[in-house]
Amino acid sequence: MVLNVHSLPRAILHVDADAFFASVEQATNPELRGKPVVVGRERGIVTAVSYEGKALGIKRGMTIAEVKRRFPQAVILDSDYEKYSLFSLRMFDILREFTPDVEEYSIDEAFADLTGLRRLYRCGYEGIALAIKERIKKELGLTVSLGISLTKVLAKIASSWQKPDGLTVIPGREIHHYLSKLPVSEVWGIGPKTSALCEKLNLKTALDLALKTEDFIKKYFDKRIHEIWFELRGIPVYPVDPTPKSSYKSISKALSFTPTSNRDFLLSQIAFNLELACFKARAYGLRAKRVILGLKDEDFNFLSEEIELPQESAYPLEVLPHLREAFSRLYREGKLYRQVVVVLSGLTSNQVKQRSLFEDTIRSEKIEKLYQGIDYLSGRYGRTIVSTATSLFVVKEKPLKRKDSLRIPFLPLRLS
Amino acid sequence: MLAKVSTKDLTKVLKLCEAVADKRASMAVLSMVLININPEKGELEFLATDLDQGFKGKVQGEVEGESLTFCVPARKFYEVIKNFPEDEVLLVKEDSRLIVRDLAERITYELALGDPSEFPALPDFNEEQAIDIPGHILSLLIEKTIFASSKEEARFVLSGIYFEPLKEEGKLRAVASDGHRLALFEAEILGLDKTELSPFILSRKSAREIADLSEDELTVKLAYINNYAVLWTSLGIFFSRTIEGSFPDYRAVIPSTFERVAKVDRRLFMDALRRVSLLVTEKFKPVTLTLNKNELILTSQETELGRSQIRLGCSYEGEPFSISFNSEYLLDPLEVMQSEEVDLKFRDERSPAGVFGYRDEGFLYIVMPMVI
Repeated sequence: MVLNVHSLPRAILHVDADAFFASVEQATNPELRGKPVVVGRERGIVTAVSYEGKALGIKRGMTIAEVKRRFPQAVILDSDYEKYSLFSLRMFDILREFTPDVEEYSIDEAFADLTGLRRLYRCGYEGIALAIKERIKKELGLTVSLGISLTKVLAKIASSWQKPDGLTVIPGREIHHYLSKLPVSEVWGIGPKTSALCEKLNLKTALDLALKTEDFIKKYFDKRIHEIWFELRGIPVYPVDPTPKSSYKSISKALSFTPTSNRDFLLSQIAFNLELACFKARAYGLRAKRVILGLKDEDFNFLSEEIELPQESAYPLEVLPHLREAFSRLYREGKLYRQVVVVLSGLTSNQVKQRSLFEDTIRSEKIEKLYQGIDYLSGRYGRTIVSTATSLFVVKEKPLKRKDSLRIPFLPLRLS
Repeated sequence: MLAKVSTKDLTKVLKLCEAVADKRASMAVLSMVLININPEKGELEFLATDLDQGFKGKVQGEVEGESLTFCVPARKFYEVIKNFPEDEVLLVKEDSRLIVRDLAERITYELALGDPSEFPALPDFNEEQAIDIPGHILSLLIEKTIFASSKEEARFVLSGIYFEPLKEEGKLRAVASDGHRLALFEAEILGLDKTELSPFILSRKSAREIADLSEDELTVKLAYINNYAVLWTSLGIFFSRTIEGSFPDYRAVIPSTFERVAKVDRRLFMDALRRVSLLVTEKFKPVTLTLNKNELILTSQETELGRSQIRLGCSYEGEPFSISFNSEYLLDPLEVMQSEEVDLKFRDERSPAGVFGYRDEGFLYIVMPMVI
């Protein structure tokens, strides 16, 4: 018992639906079962592949053209986010029938706290998990991979241990066993930068990290990794948050670069971050009432300004002039800056829009149409295909090509 | 020094001092009220300012001893006087304290004093430039429009009430808008044609003070001098820096004609608007109005909780028509109107709609629809 925790003082379940979008398509259309199904035709890239497709070698992020050429037998479909959302909600509802503490983490993932339910269901946590699996399979026709352990980070490790249709329980006494086989980079929340640092410190597996002393962790890592360290050791830090996520509160984008005082470069970074944030807001059908611009100088001092927009917007053409003004107020000649941050906040749904008396409505309607076009092109050719000239500095250096254009992680928005 | 004054009179004056004094107290002295005691005139003068607003009030009383000037914290002094149980209060200055007590010396407060030399000099205003307005008219000009002004600082020219003297018509007009709707109220003012009053924008906060101060006065004097709006009442002089900038061309957005008119009972319509929004939890409470022949249907937006619909009789003769609004934007004007029946006037679902009432002369309200 390397980590000094026993069986399961707390039982956190992580549910991960297998090849979710493709599985939903197969569940709703029996003809597709057993066939390699690919979703994402409208975006030109593969957003999801069924297990049959994965077996053939189709991967997420491939272009649809490539799939057509190499795998003529694949069934290629448009994404139907509304349908996926409905399945997602149904899946969460099934979980909620077992326990009230369900956190909808993303469209195809959830955490649930099962602690204390053994008496109620007269079986072990594994038995409860099997019952959940059974219900989801029977009612939705989907398979899920489940993981049970003491904390959210460990539960996530458990659910990915065996896929698809898996169930892995990691009790306290076996944590070290699993962690010793897991590269540190695969721990939830550890990104490429932290992995690189771990490598430098000769921490290869998750266990290497978990066994370090608290002083060591505090010395080399930030608060976030400190929390993960606790979680890996079976001490819960992240609570299961059962408040249903209906939308984002804010969207923030930050990029770091070699410290510079070049105004044009910094403005270009700001414009680029704004475009990414606005793209995401539009994808979720949201508009922002406020924008925060932040600048971090080379000594890590952080300066920021919040701007109240006269009219809610998710369009860089409308917002950028305000950021430009804020930038000229924050910027100090001769100072070197290493990071810009753009945060959209005060988000509201764009389904309902209040018309305005004095604004140029024709112009704003034109901008709206323009961005519908831009969003279509971004989906097809990557998000930097059309950008404001201000961000050209960045976009020229680092264009986001089709294959890099990220899968937008859609939240299970409650449909009205 | 000894002064005996009426608690009621003092409370009125101090209430305003307290409202005007700077609570954030960027300068400590701005949270104080400056008191000048003048035995010759038998009066006490009170001054407070946050540098944007200021108030100078007088209270008559029995004053003995020499003339004096000192400062006390405005809020605390107001609280002491407001809660004072006797009709008359005695103010005595002893060394560096102000003693507040009743005649029988059962209640005694000793307030520490501030340094009056730091108190900023207040600007002087000439009463000759002012116009005379019946107090309740000025109060109405504010009350009937202020709700439409913007609560957001981002649109600072819209965050107040625009006062525009229409000299040829002899009317004073108040206009407020948050960019989504606009409220306008005008009233005849005798002698307006002979004054020099020019248009100005009064902040929401100052407008509230002015409405409160004027409401019960027979006549008040109003002037716009050097970017200050100045009001003379029986209590004293109130002044406030106005909002700089030009008010948008509001005339351009008021439609000259409306194609569709529905007559509806104001009270019933208000009740229906409130009821139909009960299932809407969001900040905006959109409501769709559907007009059929002699029928108005209010429908809420579908939410997780469901939807609601209310049918209401009205007189309408035109083609069936649907349009959506933020229900609060319809409730606000109906609240300040008086007519039993109001006219809802529309052009199309993209243009501003109007709310009018036959007993609401001088009042005009227009509101932009929502897109759902």
